[in-house]
This record gives sequence, structure tokens and C-alpha cells, in this order.
Amino acid sequence: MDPKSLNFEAIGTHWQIDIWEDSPLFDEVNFFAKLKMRIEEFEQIYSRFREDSWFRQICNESGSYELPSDAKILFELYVEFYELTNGIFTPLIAQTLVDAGYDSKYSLQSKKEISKPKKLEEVLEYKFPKLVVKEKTILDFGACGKGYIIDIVSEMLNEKNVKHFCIDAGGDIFYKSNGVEKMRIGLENPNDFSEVIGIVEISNQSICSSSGSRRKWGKFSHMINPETLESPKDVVATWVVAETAILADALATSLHMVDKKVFLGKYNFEYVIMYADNSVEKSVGFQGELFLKDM
Amino acid sequence: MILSAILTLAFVATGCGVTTPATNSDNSTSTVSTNVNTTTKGNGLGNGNGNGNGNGNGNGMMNGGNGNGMMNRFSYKDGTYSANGEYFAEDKEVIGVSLTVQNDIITDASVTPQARDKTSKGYQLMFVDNFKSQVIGKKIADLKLGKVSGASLTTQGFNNAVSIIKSQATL
Repeated sequence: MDPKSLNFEAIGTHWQIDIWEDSPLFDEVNFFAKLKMRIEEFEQIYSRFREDSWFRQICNESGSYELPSDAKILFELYVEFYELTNGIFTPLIAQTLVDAGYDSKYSLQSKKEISKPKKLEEVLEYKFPKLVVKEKTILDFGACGKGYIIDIVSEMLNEKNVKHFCIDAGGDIFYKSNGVEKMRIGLENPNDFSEVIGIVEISNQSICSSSGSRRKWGKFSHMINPETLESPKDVVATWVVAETAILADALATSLHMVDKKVFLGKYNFEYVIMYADNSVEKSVGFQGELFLKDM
Repeated sequence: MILSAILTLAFVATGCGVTTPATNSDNSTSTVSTNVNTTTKGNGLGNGNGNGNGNGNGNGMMNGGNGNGMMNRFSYKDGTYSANGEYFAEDKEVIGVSLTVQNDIITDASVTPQARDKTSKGYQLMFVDNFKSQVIGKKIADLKLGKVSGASLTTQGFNNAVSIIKSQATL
């Protein structure tokens, strides 16, 4: 059976949502419209690329705010990762990225000096549902925001009892099936987008990838290490398979800057890390194949 | 020394192979298999083909080992270990291997070719080149794939900005 597909652009990337739903009662047109609306609502709250987004507005001056209910999972992951990575994983990287030219106008012109993120506790005080903004700031949820909205969409499909679907947001994917059907996914070669360097099969899991290969300008990519103020160069691409897309996305970003051992034993995930010299490293349980050079 | 014993074993078993010690967690890590058979032969006689003829002799040397008070959890002491492996091609040849171990995981490895015989040296250099497993790309069109996971397709806004900058930079 061919899936019914919804294609559109949102949160800075191309989306394709496929559902294999054969009930004649299922009104996919109406439902697709709802999904799209939900993604747009998410963007309107969280995106730092929209000057009128809710977070841009509340962070314009100090104040105390009540967070929307969907902020809980996102903030808790950020706090957890911030602590685990000693501040490398931080929403305050936003100003650093803006300074480097990755701003809402995509000026892509770096300032002479780019600023180092402050300590999270100096700027924010979080206790769900309360968020105290202590000084004017800007927040970036790019390290796992896309993964999170994939999970939100996935949950909406679950609520509608759709049992077989695939959400693909620009190469970050969640695939749901009966568990027997698997999705064969190629790992895009960051050096040549017409190629893949391996294949993985997933089912009821997410795979997220992170690579600076498409979003780079000058000496920067959309990832900047808050300690070195440089974009990572040794790692050129990462892939992480996990049960939720928010976790896979957060880990895929982190593995560019933080050693995997920081996360091993704390979360269930499998990974592939590709380095600048084309060498690769994978977790023991990685369910896939890498195309290795003949020796 | 345990590590040099492993090295010796590795030399005997595969000619020159360095294996990552297994760790005890399910989610543990391994560098993609780096078993490389360096068939070292002198003048076409095919000695020392890595199946026992390689008389692996690990002269181990260790430096580093920054004790962190949690030594009991791991089987190996953190640090960088170097060893020279000896084997007989036509004459005795030596290959140097250096491993960095952290929390029982080999985090880096390098090989120094030291062969005197030209042919042996060639093989050792080949081994150095291929020491870390490298990936190659295969055309997406040639594979049956449901999806591709990679760097996000970018928005028109970003792509436009890049092309504007490129045109400004071009005289």
C-alpha cells in the first residue's frame, strides 16, 4: 500500500509525513492540516529565527513567566544535558550563533568578537511551569527542538490510532510500525549528498543526524562550541538512534563536541560518528552496515 | 604487562591487529574493527604471513597513567602505551604501536613503521594508512532505501544568503 503523504516546509526544513492508514473513515486531509498547524504553533513559540516568537518576546527584558505545557520535556532535557556536558549543551549559545552571523536574517557575517555564553543560572531560573528571565537574552533550542516537535507530531498520530507512519523532518526521522516492518535508512555522506556511507534499519525508533555540511559559512557552521567558540572540525557527521527523536537529536548534536562516554550508561542509544579523515566509529549495538574501504 | 600480552597475541593472531578491549556495558563503544593483515614478505618467500610465523615479541613501554583514584573500576590503567612488535620476515623486522587507553577504551592508536627491508617497509606503511577504518560513499541511486538521514535540507533563506555572499565574494 502506498502511503498518504504530506509535504511542506517548516522550522527551517522540509517535512514529509507518510501514513499507511487504510480506514476509509480516516480524514487525512483534515488531520494533516492539524499537524501542520501544530508545527507552526511550535515554531511561533520557540523559534529564535522569528522576531515575534513567544520566547524572543519574553526574553527581551527580565521578568517572570509561565511556560506552555510542552516546554517541560524540552527544558528538562536542556537542564540535564547542560549539567552532563558542563555547559557545552546550552540554549544560551543563541547569542554566540547570532554573533557568528547565524541570525534571523541569515546575515552570515561574523562579528570580530563573538561572545561566550553566560552561565545558565545567571540568566534563567527554571522551575516548571515558572521561568524567570533575569536579564535580556536570546534562547536557541536548535540542538534538539526539531527532534522534540517530531515527538509531538508522533504523539498526535498515536492519539489518532495511526499505527504505521513515518515522520521525516529534513533527515531526522521517526518510524512507527508493527515492529516487523523496518525502515531502511541511508546515512548521508557529508562530503557528497548523492551518496550514503552506510545503512541502518529502524522500527519504532528515531534516527537523527547532525552535520555542519549544509549549514556552513566562513569558518562557522550552525554548531559552535561555547568553550572554544569554534565550530567542531574533527567530527563531520553523527547519527544517533534512540526511542525518542528529542534524545536522538540532542545526542547527535552533542557528539560533535562531547565525548560519547559522557552519555554511555545514562541513555539508551546507538551511534555512528564520522571524522574528518573519513574514519568512523560506531556503538556495539548499532543495527546497520557501514561501507568500509577495502584494506 | 597485560596490554603487551594482548599486543603480542594480536600480532600472532592476525599479523598486526589491534583490538579494542571489550567493556562491560551493553552500550559500550568500539572502534570499528581494525584488523588489518599485513602480509610481510621478503623477496617473494612469503614468510611471516601473520599466522603464527610472526614471532610477536612485545617490548612494552608505558608512560602516562594518570591515576584518578578509581582504578578498581577498570582493567587497564589510563595512559598511552607504546610497544614494539618484532616479527621475522626474512630478517627480524619491527613495527611500533602506540595506544591511548582511557576508561578501558582505546581512544587513539598509531603505528610507526620501522622495517629495514624495503618491501616490509612498504607493507608497514600500507598498514599505517589503513589503520583506522574508513568509510566510502555509495550512490543513493544504486541502493534501495526508504529514507536518507543527514544534515537538514536548508531553507531557501539560508541558501539565498549563501549565494548572495558567494556572488559578492566573486570578482
